[in-house]
Amino acid sequence: MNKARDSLGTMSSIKQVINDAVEKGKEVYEKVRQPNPIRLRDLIRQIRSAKTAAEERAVVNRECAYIRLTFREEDSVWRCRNVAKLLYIHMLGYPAHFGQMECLKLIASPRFTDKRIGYLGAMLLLDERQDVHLLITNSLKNDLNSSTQFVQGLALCTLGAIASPEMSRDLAGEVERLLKSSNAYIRKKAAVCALRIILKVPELMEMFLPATRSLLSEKNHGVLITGVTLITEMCLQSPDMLAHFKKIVPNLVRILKNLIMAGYSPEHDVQGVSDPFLQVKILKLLRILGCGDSDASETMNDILAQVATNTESSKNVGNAILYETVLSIMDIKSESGLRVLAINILGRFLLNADKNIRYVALNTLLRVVHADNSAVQRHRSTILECLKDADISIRKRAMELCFALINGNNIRTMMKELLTFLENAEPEFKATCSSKCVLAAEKYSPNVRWHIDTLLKVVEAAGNHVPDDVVSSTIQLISETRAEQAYAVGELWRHLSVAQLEFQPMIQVSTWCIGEFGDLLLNGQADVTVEETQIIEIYQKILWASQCSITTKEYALTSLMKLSARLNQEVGSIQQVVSAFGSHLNIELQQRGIEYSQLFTRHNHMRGPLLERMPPFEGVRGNGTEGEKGGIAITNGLDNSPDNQSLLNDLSSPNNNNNINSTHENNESNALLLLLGGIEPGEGDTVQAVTSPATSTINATPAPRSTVNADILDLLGLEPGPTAPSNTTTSTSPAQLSHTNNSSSPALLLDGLLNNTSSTTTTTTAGIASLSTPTANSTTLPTNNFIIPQSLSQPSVPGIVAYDKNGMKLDMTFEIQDSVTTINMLATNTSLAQVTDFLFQAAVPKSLQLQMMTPSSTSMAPSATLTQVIKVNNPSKVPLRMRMRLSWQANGSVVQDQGEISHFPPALWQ
Amino acid sequence: MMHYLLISKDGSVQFSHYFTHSSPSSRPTTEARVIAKCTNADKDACHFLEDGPHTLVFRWFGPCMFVVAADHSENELMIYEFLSLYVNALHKYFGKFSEKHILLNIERLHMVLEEMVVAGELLEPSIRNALSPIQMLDTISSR
Repeated sequence: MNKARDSLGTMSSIKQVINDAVEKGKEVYEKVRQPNPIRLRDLIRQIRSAKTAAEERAVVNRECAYIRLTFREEDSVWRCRNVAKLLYIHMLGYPAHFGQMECLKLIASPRFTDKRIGYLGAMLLLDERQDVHLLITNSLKNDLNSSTQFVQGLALCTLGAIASPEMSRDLAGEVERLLKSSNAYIRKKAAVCALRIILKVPELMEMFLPATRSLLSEKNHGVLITGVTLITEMCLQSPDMLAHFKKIVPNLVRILKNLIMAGYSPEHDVQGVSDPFLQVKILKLLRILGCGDSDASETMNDILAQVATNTESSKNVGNAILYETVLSIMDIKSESGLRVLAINILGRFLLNADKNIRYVALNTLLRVVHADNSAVQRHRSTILECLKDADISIRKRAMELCFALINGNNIRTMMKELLTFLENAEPEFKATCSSKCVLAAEKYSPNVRWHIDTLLKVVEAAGNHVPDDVVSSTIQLISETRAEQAYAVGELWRHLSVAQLEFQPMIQVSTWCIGEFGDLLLNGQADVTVEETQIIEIYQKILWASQCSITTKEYALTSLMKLSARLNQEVGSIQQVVSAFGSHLNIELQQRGIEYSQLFTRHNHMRGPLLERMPPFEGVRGNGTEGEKGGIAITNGLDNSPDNQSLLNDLSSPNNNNNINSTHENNESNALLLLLGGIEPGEGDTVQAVTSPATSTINATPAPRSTVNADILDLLGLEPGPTAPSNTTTSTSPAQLSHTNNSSSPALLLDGLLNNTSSTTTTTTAGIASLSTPTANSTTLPTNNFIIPQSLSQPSVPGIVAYDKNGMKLDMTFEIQDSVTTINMLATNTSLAQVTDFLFQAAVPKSLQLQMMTPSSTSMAPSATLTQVIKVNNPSKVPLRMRMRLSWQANGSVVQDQGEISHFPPALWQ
Repeated sequence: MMHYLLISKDGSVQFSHYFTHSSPSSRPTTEARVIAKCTNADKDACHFLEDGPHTLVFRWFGPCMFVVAADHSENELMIYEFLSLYVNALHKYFGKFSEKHILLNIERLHMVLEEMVVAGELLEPSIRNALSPIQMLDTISSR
């Protein structure tokens, strides 16, 4: 019996074991078939424990593959977890767009947890793709109409984050309705949504207007703060709204007063200040409403004074409020007493130990310096101290402020400090700082000697970070002030004789000047005694130094060549050096070497006249705008010459090719002779040369010509031949002139031009070469004539004004090369505000190709300019039209405009 | 207007939230640049840096650095204060906020932020008001 029971027991236990095993097997099978996805935190751990980037990528890829699989299987149980993981993967910078649809599915789910993750995913993952937007718009619409406030809130949050213009239009009605909701939680979110909507579609502003006004009679700070933000944005966007909201100034003053007077409220207290966030928002709105309006300013005077005096300045929040208050006081038409108070607050800020506060003070002074220069001047010494601060942000602001403070009275002291600053500044500062020094010296220098000294110091202090325009400004200044040339060349020799060869700009300036005015150095006019051999030694050092750049060597070689006409004994050694360059590895230098050698041998008799001094550059330094205007005017007696005219036309037409040589050779030589020899002394002082594609072909097949003509043409015929007369003022980049003045190859000329275009775009387009007429032997040989092509622009195509609105002017000039039209756009800020984030976008008809170069800058001070080159390829020669879109920031608001340019000159495609 | 908020530790991004649209492909490079810029600043240096069209405001909380990129027209000191407001909100929500919460509850960081900032504008200056809907949702979800 017992036995039987035992065996029964054994049986049942065996059964049990078998059953267990089967269950386990099932479980294992389930697991293998569909393992539970790892949790987000485990994934993060795995990713973090990856030792290399490759390992991390492997983990992510494995997980992504798995997540894709579950998405495909429509697994809704783990969808939420998988999307959460995907969000993390997305944050690491891996592509996760395949999760977009899953987010939409989660959003449509009735469960809160799913909805939350779904909306979060939508906010983070959605890009600008339209199809997904359409789907989410429907979900949003449903949820905005939901009866649960949290669902509405989630939808509003998401809409605020991702609304596109289409979505804004579709859902504006819902948002407007929720803006009037009785629930503060919904109202504040609706207000931010409305803000986003009017940013996307400004026309919808009207619709929100009634609901917005009532937001201000609110107790809840969340609603108040979003309401104020919304009104601020409306006022910034539209002048009508600004006028409309003028009447709420008393309301705002009352709210602000309540905030200051209110006792301690734990809910909104930050370091003892009652809701500083709201205070700052209100102050900002007051500033916008009171700007230029004396009535509104009157109303807010008292409260601003109250805030300025009562706010505790020992804590960060207090200072934040004071900062905003000062800005408001300076922007509105406030009483003078109040302004003094504001400037004094900034003075206290400047002395604050906290760097953040000092930075803010400088920032504010920079913003108010245009409104009240004298008040800011009082803090000059403190600001100069900030130039020596260890903090880079503070130094940058201080530098900008210093340049704003320079005037005729303080330039000497300011420049001294700024030069010290420049010497020790970080490389990133040197370029801007040296450019600004040059501009300031230009504007306020007390005398020429000081001006030259300053520029030389700037070039020296900025080392290799001198922008090209500073080099050219310096050269130009020396070239045009005859009285100081001896002094300058003496100084430069002193620099050069001890120069460290790694600083190129100084050597460039020095060699240019010594080449031009070397005789002053030798005849004792300069305050130094120099031996000719010393000069040659230095030049040899420069020319063979490995630290010197090719450009510097080009300067030096040309300069040395010039010296061969200035020195007496060392001409032989110059010839040696120059001819040695005939085998230089750099093709440019080699070419110069060979060409210059010719001037010692075959054309030795012309060397002297050819190497005469350059005529002084006239016109505006540094700033290309005025030269630009001058570049269009072409009036000169030579215009009447038919030969010259026809030649010009022929050569400037884009269809030029080889046959020009044979057919127009006669014309060409005539014209050149006419130009070179036939000019009456004193008449037509300047001649503009135009390079064109044809010039290279002239060079390629030189035709035999006779005697003197041939000589001239050999030399000058190599240069771009056609010459367009013009007596416009020259505004040239001397750097380029020195590049090109002695050379005789168009390739080289073009090289020189192209090399420089990036750095000196303004001067290049403005450039006009000068060719002064010989007075002594005007009939046979030119004495000091160089035809210097400066501008690639074709004078036959007039420039246009493409845009002139909203304080922004766009001028376009054109260059044609075969089917490619190069548009040089010059944008001028004609407003009084600083323009930043300038963006010019353009589109052309499909048969054309458009290439936009990067603009020279994206910000412009008042009346400053920037340039941008646009290339249009027009192979089928269709009339050129262009749609453009412009945007920039001025006074803290974005200006946008678009339009079509259809008045391009027909010459561009005919 | 604020554009994005980053939390970084040891020079790598731990958390990022974008308030305005930016192309996903350019984000990693921007983030790396911004974080390098802010981490390289001296400890006692000014906490505001210029970064193209944005002003970067950064603040250290223990080992974590919080960075906000905002328009130049924003009040830098107020953004600086906002960072501490956000951290205080996180402290209150998590009990004591530490970096492990970034690891374990990254979606909560987003949610708290969403209750405080939408479309780059401050929504709610009161921590209690900002947290109450999240806490209420948490209780509903856990049911």
